[in-house]
Amino acid sequence: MVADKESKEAALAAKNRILPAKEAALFKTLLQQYELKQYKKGIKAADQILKKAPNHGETLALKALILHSSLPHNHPTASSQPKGDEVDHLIAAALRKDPYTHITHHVNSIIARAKKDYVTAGRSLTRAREIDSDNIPLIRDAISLHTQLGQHKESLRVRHQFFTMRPNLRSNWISLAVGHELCGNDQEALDVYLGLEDSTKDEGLAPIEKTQMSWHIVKLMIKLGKFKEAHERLGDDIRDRIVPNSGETVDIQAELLQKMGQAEEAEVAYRRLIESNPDKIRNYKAMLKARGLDLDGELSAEQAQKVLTQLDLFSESFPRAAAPKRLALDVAQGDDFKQRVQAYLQAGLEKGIPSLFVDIKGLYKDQAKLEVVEAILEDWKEKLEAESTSAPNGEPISPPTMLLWLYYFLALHLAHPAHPTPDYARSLELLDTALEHTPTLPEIHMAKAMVLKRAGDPDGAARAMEQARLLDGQDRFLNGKAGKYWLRAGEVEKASAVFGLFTKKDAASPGQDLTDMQCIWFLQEEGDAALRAGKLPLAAKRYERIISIFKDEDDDQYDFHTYALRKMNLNAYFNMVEFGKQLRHHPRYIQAATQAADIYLRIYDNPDLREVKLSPEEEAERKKAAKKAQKANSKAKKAAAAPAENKEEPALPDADPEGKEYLKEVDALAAIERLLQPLFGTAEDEISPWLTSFELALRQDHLLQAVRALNKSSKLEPQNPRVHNQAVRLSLKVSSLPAETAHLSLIKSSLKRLIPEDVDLLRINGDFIQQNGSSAAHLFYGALTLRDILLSRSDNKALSDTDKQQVEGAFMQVLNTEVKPDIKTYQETLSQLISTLDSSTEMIAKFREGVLQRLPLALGFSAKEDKQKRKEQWMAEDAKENEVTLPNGTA
Amino acid sequence: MDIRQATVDDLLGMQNANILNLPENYTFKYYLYHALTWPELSYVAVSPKGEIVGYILAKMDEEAVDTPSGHVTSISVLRPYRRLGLANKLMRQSQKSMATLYNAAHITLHVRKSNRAAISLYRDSLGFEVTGVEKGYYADGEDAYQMTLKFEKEV
Repeated sequence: MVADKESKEAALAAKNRILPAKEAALFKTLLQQYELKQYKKGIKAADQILKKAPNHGETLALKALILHSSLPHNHPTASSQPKGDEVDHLIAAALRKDPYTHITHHVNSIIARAKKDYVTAGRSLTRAREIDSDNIPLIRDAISLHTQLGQHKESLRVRHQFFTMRPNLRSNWISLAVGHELCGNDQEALDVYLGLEDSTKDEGLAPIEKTQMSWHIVKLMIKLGKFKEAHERLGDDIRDRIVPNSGETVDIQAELLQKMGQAEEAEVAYRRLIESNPDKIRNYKAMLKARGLDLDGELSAEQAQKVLTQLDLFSESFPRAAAPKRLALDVAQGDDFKQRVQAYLQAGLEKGIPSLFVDIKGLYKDQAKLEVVEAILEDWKEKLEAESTSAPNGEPISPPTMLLWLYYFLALHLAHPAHPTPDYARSLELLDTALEHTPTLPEIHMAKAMVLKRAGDPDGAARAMEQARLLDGQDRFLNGKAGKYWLRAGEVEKASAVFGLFTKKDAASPGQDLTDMQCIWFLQEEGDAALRAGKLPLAAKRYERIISIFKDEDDDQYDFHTYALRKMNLNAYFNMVEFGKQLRHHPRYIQAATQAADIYLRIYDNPDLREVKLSPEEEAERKKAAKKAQKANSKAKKAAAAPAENKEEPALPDADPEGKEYLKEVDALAAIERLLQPLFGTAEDEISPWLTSFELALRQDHLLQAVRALNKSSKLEPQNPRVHNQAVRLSLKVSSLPAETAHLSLIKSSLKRLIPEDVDLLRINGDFIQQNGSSAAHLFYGALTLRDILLSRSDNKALSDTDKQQVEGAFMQVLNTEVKPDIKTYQETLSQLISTLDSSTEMIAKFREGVLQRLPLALGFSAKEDKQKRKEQWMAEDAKENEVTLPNGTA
Repeated sequence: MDIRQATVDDLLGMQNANILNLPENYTFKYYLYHALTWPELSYVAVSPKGEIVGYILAKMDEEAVDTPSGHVTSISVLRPYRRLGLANKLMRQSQKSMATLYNAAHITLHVRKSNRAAISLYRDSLGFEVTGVEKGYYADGEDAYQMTLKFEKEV
């Protein structure tokens, strides 16, 4: 019956598709006009047809396509926005009127693709291909879309179909081989590549394309374990000059020889690579490995000596290469190490290499090496200060700047987290001495900023970084650092003004330009600043922008699925596909996703947080801004309505730049699912998505999922304090469930491994706190867990006064003298006291004082008034300085 | 610092280094375009932590048909990693590939007329010479110098 009805409808649609002669001719012109990008004429022609045949689906679709093509690609503008809506209406109407022609579906697919909605695009295309399976444009689009969506089996099927239709096209051979490779059919892929060569269809390729092809075929052979064939092929192609006998060729050759067990030949090949690029570390390691010396494994004393002898030979051959000298520092021990590191440090300090510390600190995994470096520096410092005219080893006169760089290095050394007893105060002293010596070197101010930041003084750090920036206003690196430090100090407007010195002047704001340029660190920092200021919606908006940048980058691959077939850069192409699969594993994605998820959790638990409560002044400010935005908007619309000039229409301003409305309506849990989804399968070895996944599952009452996440987390990091907190919370939840709950026994038995069943949770938590008494983070989560337990046991779901005191007492323990100071945890504790526990002002003041007692430099914890006083003092100082310099400057 | 050929995995790090250091920025797709068209011409300098601290993003000049010519789209070394000669090393590696794979005889680049620091780096440290002026080359209307370096036979 249904099929019958459908076939009747289809027959009717087919009848309606036939246009009268005049309109049929117009339709043909319409198609041409689209091809020729004559959009205005095209729309006129479409309207003419629609006058006579208003229900003609194909014309509606083409009108939609032409209108869509005439719109700006990137940002909607005042005039394009309504047209975009019209496109949507037209295409919906077209699909309704005639779903039986491939044209309406194809157009829908093209428009969805332009909007980067590849899922809809793929679905529509499949529908179009059901109607017209041999249509070549449809086939081409289908290959790219399936590939982009990771539907490799489907893509292979279409590639194969196209190949059988047009076996004479070289690109179809390549396409088929690529399709096989994407499916993991490496042998089939190799057969197709070789078949292409046998049928001499590769003859038209440019030399570089043949080179690329050869490299790829050889790599594929290696992957298939056909070492002998690969070796022969590479040899032939070197002889025939298809590939150069250098660079990538030698790289492949070396790897191949190593795999074939021809260690000596492999060593020769690696040696050639080192000669060609003596700064590539991997080549040294690989060459030594070919000799049975594994630098990444344990070396016997005898082996270490062999390594050092070899590295010394390389240092002689390539005196300008840092790699062999630096690698030797990893391997050498004892007196030998001391000698070597002395020479290395002296050369670096004399030359004034700012990155010397970053380079050296890798050695600090070995505490003994850290101590040797420190002793050398302290010794030199004393000598140089005493007689600043002769070098530490008594040899020629050392450059006066050596002492300066020594202060710089030692300051960074003393403030580094790897240092067993970081000494920020002394570090800052050294930097101040250096500044007396040379006040104009930005690096010293930068170091000062970094030390102050580590010491817990974001205001002082920002001020120091600003001083660095002012010393070299032409340097964007300093500019970006200064802006970042202002953000960390909560000075968002100041930061924006600083960033604006380097962003495009025609951008809506400095932040907009940085966003358009996909500057992820900036969005992260601005989001963090908003979060610290309690502006949850704005923070979420910034983190979500990072998420969308990752989507854009994923989408960017689309065009290259066909491009690579023409360019033949197949190794690079497969490298891209692999990159696309792993893209969301990027630490920046994970960080933004989990932080955004935390915000969604908070608004789910407390819907009041969906909107930021504004003070009356802020509300007035907001209204002013909204008015301004509206004015800009209507101005843009007016400009758009004016007769079109060649001038480009500006993009519509963001209607909600402060993100006020951002979280109002959002489905918090669905948002978290969306953020986490791409992480499963790529980032399973990271704990933070699992911790978030647990929180989501708990709120969705998906307890099996919660247990699974918890098990994963505890396997990855059994000592992570959040694992303890989550296990206790799950246990609380489970104990409240009725006995008939599904999977209850399974959940219980799984949980038992983390939390013993018959012990009181308060005692378990007490033990946890006691066992981790020196870790601030553990004490923090212990206190948080205590709160969770007490809350679940209270009748009215609120803490009693004695409960609250108990929890506050637990939080205060993070300040105990046996705890290693931890600024991040102190900040979190402070925000728990203020926002969650609603502690008294006395309590909060007591905590702040406690932090300052332990960390006198952590002025970020001082009272608001004290911070304000300090800033006013700075302003006065700066004003005075300007007074002094101004008359000279104007004289 | 490790110097090696850039792969697609390095592009985000290159983009990050670019926007940290230079006023001329590009979206990701442009980096991808370089990596998938001239995969052997771009190089990176990597810190021990695995961070990209310097890069050369390079291509072949598509309009130069008669004599193949390499072109530097962007080169930069983060401020804390200067004085290690990284720019020079990156440039040399890229030039080698240009000569061997594309028969390039020289390499060109554009620089803002006002960017004296960069001009002196290209001229004094890297051996480029000013070979022309392109009027209004940059989006804000500033002129660019075209600078060229002829390859020595040995590379």
